[in-house]
Amino acid sequence: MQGLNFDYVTRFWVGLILAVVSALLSNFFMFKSTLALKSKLVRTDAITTYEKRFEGLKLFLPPHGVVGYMSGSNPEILDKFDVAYAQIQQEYRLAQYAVAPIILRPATDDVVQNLLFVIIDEYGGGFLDSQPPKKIAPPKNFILLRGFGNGLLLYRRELP
Amino acid sequence: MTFRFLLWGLITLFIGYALISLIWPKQRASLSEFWIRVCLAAGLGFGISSCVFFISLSLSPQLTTWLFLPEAIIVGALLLLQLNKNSSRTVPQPFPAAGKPFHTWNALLWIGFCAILSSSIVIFLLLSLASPHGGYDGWEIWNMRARFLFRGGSQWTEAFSTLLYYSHPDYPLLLPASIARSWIYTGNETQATPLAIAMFFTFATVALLAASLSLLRSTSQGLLAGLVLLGTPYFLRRGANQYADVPLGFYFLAALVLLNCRKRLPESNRGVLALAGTMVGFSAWTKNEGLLFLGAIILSFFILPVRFKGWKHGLRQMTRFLLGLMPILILLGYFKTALAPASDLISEQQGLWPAIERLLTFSRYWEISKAFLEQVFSFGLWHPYTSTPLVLAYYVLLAGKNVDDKEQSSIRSSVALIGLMTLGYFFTYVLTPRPLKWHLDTSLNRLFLQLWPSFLFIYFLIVRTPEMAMLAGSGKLKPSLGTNFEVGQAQKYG
Repeated sequence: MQGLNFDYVTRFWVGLILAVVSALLSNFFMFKSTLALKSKLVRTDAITTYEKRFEGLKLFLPPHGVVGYMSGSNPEILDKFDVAYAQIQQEYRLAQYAVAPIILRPATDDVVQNLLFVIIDEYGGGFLDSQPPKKIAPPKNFILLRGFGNGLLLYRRELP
Repeated sequence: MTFRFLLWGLITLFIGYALISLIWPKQRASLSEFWIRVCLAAGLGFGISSCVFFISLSLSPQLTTWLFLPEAIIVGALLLLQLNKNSSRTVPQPFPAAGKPFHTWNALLWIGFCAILSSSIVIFLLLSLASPHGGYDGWEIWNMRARFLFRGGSQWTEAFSTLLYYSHPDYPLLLPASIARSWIYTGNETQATPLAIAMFFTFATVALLAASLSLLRSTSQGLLAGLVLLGTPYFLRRGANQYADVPLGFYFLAALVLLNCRKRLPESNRGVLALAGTMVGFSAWTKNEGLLFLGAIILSFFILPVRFKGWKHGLRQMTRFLLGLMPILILLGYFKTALAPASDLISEQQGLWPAIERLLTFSRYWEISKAFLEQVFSFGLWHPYTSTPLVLAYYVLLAGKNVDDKEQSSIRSSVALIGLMTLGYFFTYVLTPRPLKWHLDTSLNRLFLQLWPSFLFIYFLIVRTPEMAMLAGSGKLKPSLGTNFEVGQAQKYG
């Protein structure tokens, strides 16, 4: 009986120590990997940098309403359910985050003629990856209102 | 700005703390009880103030400029109630004062807990400072919605446009309203407040878990549970990413703690059930999964136990629970019917037949079961050398369980609750109109995370405390003894 009791206590200790050590180790490994982020802290984070691009543009937008958005010749993909377009979609959504409470929508052919403004992002979803900008043709009947020198262009529908 | 930031935090905490003091009279001066009250108070404060903000916004967006007015009225009314509170309401100690046996493992657990807590705070701050806008859901859903509420003026309802379908405009507003409210206080869109809210919910979950188990079991049991939660990297990561799954997990845990504490409180203390109802309401006001939790809690705590205790008892208990729940549910109902679009999981169903077809496709069940099984062992992002779920399975087998008769029914209900929630999540995947693999890959780990603090609470309620295990090992503990009080007595007279 005594032997059984001793066994129980020893085994319990093993279990307790395992539980504590397992928690401490998991946390320690995370701590180690997170320390690597220290170097990132001296730089501005990617979202803040991305948002700064929109500061000038926001001054030319109406306070509310829907504005078109293009970052390539095929704006349909911005709403397409496909992981292949994840990066492009992420930058589209970041643009939305930056310009809220304006609502962005892909400037597809079927809706563009109902819009007054269209934003074109020449980085085509590659700004965060430092890809070079590329020329994107604006929708028909839209004229350039202003370029902001950072890949962002604001177009306005031609008035009749 | 610092003063306004502090004022925002203090008002939030005061509203919650004053209400908690009215509902749950102070029992005894214990550190555990103090922490439980502070955590519940802040959770309650965030919930109530977000509701006040939403009501002000709904009445007139201009009202939010004068937000401090309704809040000052609430603070004033609570102060008056506090002053008039009958001191005779203070009840005798319902939580047994345990003998305070201090063992080596207590000291070691304290050292371990303090070390992991300090490390977790550093991890949290580094992750938050590296991504102050939060992770994907943090900025795309919660912070963006807060911007719409704060910047939107009279057009604030555009936050719920279906054009923003990817940011789930049907999700409720506890977090966005709390963030927007803080910006009204500070006067600008500082990222310090979403960060502070995320930090509060992350560490309050740990504090609530550890303190409630300290109160209901023993300090060592509470510390052990806190250690395991802080040793879950995914919990810290998602907390710092400002995801709503952590606040949601907090409200789940808060409701469960209150429902398990009520057995220890005098029958006259009806407010605790109402408070549990309010916490469940706030979980539904945080994220849609809270509605599933509401259904599961009613079933497991009020309907299933009817066969043991009779329907009259069940009905009486449920009425008290609903009293705290209803105001939040009415507000949520207004939000869901008047403002929010339908949930994508419902609107994309394309009729009944495709849903029935999915329900009858048995390969889906297999795929989901496989994913559930995989996630159980991996969702916490534990290091491959340290599989916490395996260790916990081993630990319960070694230590054994110990639940006293008084607690049987609430623990049975708690286990049923976790089972029902898991079942609910399972069938959500069976019926999802989204590609199944993608849906499982992008959300299942977060669903497990929501339940993780509640699971740990129930697990450590059931498993023997180190004190009990040592007594059992020395033969001094009768199998029926369970609470820390009884352990204290056994040690005193053993």
